[in-house]
Amino acid sequence: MSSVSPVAPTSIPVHSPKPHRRSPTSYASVLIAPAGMLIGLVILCAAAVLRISFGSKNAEWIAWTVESWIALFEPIYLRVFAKTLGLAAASSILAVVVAFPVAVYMARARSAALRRTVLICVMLPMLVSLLVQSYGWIVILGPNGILNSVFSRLVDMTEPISLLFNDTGVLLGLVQTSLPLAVLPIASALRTISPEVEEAASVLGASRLAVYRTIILPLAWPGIVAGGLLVFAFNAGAFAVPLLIGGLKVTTAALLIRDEMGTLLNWPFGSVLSVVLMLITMAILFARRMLVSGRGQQI
Amino acid sequence: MLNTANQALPPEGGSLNHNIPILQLVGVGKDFAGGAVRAVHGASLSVRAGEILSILGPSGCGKSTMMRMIAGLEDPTEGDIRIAGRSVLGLPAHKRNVGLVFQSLAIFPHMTVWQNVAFGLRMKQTPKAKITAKVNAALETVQLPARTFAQRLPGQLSGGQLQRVALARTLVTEPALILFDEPMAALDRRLRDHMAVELRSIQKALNIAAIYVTHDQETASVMSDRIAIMNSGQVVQVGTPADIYRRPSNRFVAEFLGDVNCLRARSQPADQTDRPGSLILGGAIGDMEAGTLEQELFFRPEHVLLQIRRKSPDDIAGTIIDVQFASGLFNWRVRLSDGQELVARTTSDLAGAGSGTAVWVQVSPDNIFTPQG
Amino acid sequence: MRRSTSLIGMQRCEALIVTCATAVILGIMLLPIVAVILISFTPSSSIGFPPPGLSLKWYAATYDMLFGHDADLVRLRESLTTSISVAGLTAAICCFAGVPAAYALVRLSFRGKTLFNELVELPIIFPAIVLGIALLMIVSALPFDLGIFQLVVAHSIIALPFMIRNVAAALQGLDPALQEAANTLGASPLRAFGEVVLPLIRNGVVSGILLVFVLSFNEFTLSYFLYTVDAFPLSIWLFQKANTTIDPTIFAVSTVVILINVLVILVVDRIAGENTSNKLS
Repeated sequence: MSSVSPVAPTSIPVHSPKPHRRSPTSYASVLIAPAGMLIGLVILCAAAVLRISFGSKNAEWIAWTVESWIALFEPIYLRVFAKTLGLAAASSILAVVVAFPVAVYMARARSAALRRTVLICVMLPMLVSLLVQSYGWIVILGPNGILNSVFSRLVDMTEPISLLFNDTGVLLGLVQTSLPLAVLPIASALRTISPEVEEAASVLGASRLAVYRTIILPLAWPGIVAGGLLVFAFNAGAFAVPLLIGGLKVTTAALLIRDEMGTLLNWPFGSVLSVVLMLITMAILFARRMLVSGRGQQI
Repeated sequence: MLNTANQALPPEGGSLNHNIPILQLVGVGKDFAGGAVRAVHGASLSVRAGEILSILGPSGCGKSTMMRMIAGLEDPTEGDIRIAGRSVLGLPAHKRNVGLVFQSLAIFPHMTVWQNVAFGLRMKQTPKAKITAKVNAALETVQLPARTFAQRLPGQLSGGQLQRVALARTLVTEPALILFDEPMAALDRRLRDHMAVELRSIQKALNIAAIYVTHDQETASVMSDRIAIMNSGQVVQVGTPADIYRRPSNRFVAEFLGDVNCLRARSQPADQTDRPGSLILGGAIGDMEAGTLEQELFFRPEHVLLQIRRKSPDDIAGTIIDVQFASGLFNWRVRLSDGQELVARTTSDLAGAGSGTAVWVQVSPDNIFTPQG
Repeated sequence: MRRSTSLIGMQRCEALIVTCATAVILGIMLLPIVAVILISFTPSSSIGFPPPGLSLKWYAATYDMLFGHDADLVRLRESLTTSISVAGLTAAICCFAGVPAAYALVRLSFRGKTLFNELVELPIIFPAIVLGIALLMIVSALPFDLGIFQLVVAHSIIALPFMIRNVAAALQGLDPALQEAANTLGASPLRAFGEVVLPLIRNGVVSGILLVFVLSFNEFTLSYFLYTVDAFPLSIWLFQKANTTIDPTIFAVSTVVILINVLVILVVDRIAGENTSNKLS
């Protein structure tokens, strides 16, 4: 018989591990402290907005009232929220549709150089100053802009088409600036689909269209949903684009908040609007997590 | 430690330190996720100077966790770890003087071969002149001449050469103990065998204590003086490779170390031995208690003697049902008269026997083991 | 036999459709940037299209605004300096806060890690306008003036996740055994980080810093609420200038901004490319 344990455990006292070393949690808390402070400020901001939404004008930090919350239910404000959500929804659907072919290209291009070039082109609209790009849209869409000068040469027009300072122009700007948010999750979802799976479907008799319908779309779905909801959340709170492209003609929730806070100095009501906007964004991101993780468990 | 080969070892029992194992594990255990996962429990082991011990087990058996605890990369939740007789609990990895050659080798990709090997010495504030001499010697030991390799970056080396750099980098710090975490898993079979032999010869030349962690029983057998088998967090058996192969303490060890036959046998009173359905394997039956206790008998395919003619009254009748030829050996599948099957391994082709040939089977009782569990 | 196309697993017709669609979409997406650059070369003082010719007069005007007699009055140079200082300080803060946080997230297990991981993403999706007005309310409740630091803190909040993501990605690509190897060779955790981990994630850190710099330099929404007369960044200068007169100088200045952005992005891309070729095996 072979010996199982050459050390006699009884003759030696057994030590319990000494807490000489810092526990991983205390070690980590030192490392995350600076970042935690910055993130904590976000939470502080959310709390401040919530507090002031129950304050009253000129006594923001002192009074407690639900006045401003009641005011929220006036039809004029509800209409603004409806428009904001409508624009966000339209932009997210459009962004996903437009993003899909770009994502397919990024996931499948053979040349790494081309893939990188496309990635840079996709990222540019997000990284380059929104302000500068809005000026670009003004140049393109304005009454003497590129679009009108091209069109007036093609067809006889009595008056220029106006895309600036209306919903269509704002929608265009929203889609353009948020495109990377849709492209990146879709591309990474597509990248996980092995071309062999598609080939297997083809061998089993599926046409390319059928492959898209039965293989690619279902497998890319989590990415599509994630991208769409991200665009929605991002654009629901959009400020720069509607301000700059919409002029004062398109009122969204963010612009309304600006007016209440900046022009009318009605902080409590501005805060009520902010809390609603915050809740909408959070609800959407919560939905995204639910949908994506539910999907993930299925596969 | 590089020079230990030249130093005379103290005479047997001459010094106190010589009697104390380099490494002792006493009832070591490790829980993860607050006790939800028991990676290792009640593990006791010791390694003596100059000895190489393999920890062998399937993936997820806890062998890597055990090694990380010895190196100081994880803290055990119970038990004690002693190096040269002193408890090292709570001592962080960089103060333990335990060398570790990682599975991925973990060669620093931004440093040259020279910088990689010198790293440990630099951390110990060794004087420059000494570093130069030691690094040269270490590279010499692993057969990577400094003149050719010192200034190369890891990206320019082959898998085998990276292996040598990893070994040199660990040897140069003269650790009390070297741990190898399957560092050759990525190499192909032939290079791995070659490296295993070389590693053992370096380890023996330097007379250093080593632990080699692997899931590959062949490498473990080739490398080690002793093997510790681990399964689901526990050390199940420790012994020399041959000992463990021949006398596994349980079914898991038996099957993990190679092909094994398992037959059910029932001990019978002597006068009833010819009753149909009974099984007699050599004299094994005699070792069992009389009665109706059913027992499982284990033996290796190469220990089965297969014959065309009956040579002894103890031989059991069987029929060949299949034959395979692999690595110069014939593997015969034989069905015994009571319906049980076994595999026999022979070098001869049994004069052209094939499916349907009647044969006689004999197994020497010395080669039969009846493990518990 | 199937001919291989530029896109994996596609036949020619399909590859062509995808490629063309991508090209057209990207063209439209980049159109505003191109339009700004084009119009900045117009000799006319209106922004009609097509420009009647090519001239650099608006660039000369920009140069004059930066270095001419009235430079102090038009405040372009001052706002450019402010933007660069704010972006630089923001990058420094994000580096200081982001690198250790990324390290903890990738390498350590600690209580509340899942929660922290979620919270790190919070500033990306938190509506910038709400953050802007809330910070404004908090800052105006403070008894002292923060100067440009109220911009720096605001920008740091929204740029931090990008820094953490970049560094975390670099760390994830690094074999954890490298650092453990350094530990077993006698390096203390801090020394192992400095000698082994940091040099190997340097590219991730540098590209993170550059990304944060660009984000802060371009930031508009938070700056809109938090700027003061003394902390007056370039984006606000451009906005106010455009509100008073649509004068092609804003396009010349914008083109300079685009140029800075594109340069930084190309450097980041270059570093990212280097990072992949640098790795072992």
